Amino acid sequence: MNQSKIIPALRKKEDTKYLYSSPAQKVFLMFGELSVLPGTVRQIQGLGKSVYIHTDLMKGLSQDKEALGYIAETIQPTGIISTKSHMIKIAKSLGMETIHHLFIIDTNAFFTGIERVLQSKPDAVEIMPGLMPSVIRELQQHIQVPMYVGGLVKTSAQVDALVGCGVAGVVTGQTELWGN
Amino acid sequence: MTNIRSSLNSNPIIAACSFKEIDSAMLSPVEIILMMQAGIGDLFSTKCVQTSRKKQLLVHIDLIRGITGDRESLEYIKQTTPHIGIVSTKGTTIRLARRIGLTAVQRIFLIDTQSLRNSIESLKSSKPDAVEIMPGIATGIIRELKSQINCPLIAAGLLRSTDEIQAAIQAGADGISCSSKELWHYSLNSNIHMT
Repeated sequence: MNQSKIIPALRKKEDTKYLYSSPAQKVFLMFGELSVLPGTVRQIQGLGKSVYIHTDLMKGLSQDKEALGYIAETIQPTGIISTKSHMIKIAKSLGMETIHHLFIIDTNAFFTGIERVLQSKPDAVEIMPGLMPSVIRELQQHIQVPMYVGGLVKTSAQVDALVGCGVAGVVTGQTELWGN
Repeated sequence: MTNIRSSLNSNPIIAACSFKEIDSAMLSPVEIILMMQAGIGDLFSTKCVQTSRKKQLLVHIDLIRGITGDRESLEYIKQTTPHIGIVSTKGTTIRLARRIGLTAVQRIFLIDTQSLRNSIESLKSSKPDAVEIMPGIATGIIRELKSQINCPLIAAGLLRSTDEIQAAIQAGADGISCSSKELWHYSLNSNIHMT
């Protein structure tokens, strides 16, 4: 399996321990409460990894400019992940890296997703669910920025199939795939 | 009104359409029509009543403008158009519809492991007549879900070719919901018997 493409999606605090021996350079933080967020981010950064915060999933933070200002100044992750175009635009203006998260569940979502990315101009996109290589390949013809893919990825064969599509990274919460 | 499983057995293709496309869907060989885009006036129109007597008409109640999937709306549907079945992502709406005696299909999204686990939990208490999973193109997951879900499984979303339909059926889907009109005329019964 192509370990270099794996991006751990951290879904619970207990899984942080699996990051210590993982070679992953980037970590997507998919949980968090305002009270513990700065500490968790520091801990992962202390391992030499870049942290991307999924702002839709952070408890205690709203989806607006003030929250993003606080994230940029105080929490200081490398970037943020959001399904919301306005959050991507604001985060960009604050100098953070941005990953626009899209759920591609049907043909309509496929085309509106492309449209939204053209508008929001993120640094990268994250596509869910992951297990549809044919769709990922087609999507790459329309979206020029690096593409991270995740969701339901459980086996190394699934990772390899996605890496074979030329994606920038495969996002997974399966700690066994983090390379320990 | 026939039961969903027997309709799917004779033709697994479901025509997913808007109110405006119902006439085309009626002319196709599908047995089940899933109306996704419509307003409340369309839902209670003569056309929908007539359609529901000839084919199994399912309406995606979360997407019908002007109506909510609460007890009042479901009871009104039961009184006025008893042959119409509903589709919803909400377990509470499915439970209510079943109690009232409406055919109910629960839509679940294959997004990530955690949300899938929650959806499967929800199905245990809502007990829908069928489950619609999106995107249906993720055939690997269909195979896995098949062993965990007892009711008919309908694959929907991003299935755009006959090859993709075949792959979903082989993976265990009982039905295929598609919005592409050409696919409504696709007959795969012969292929199924061959495999």
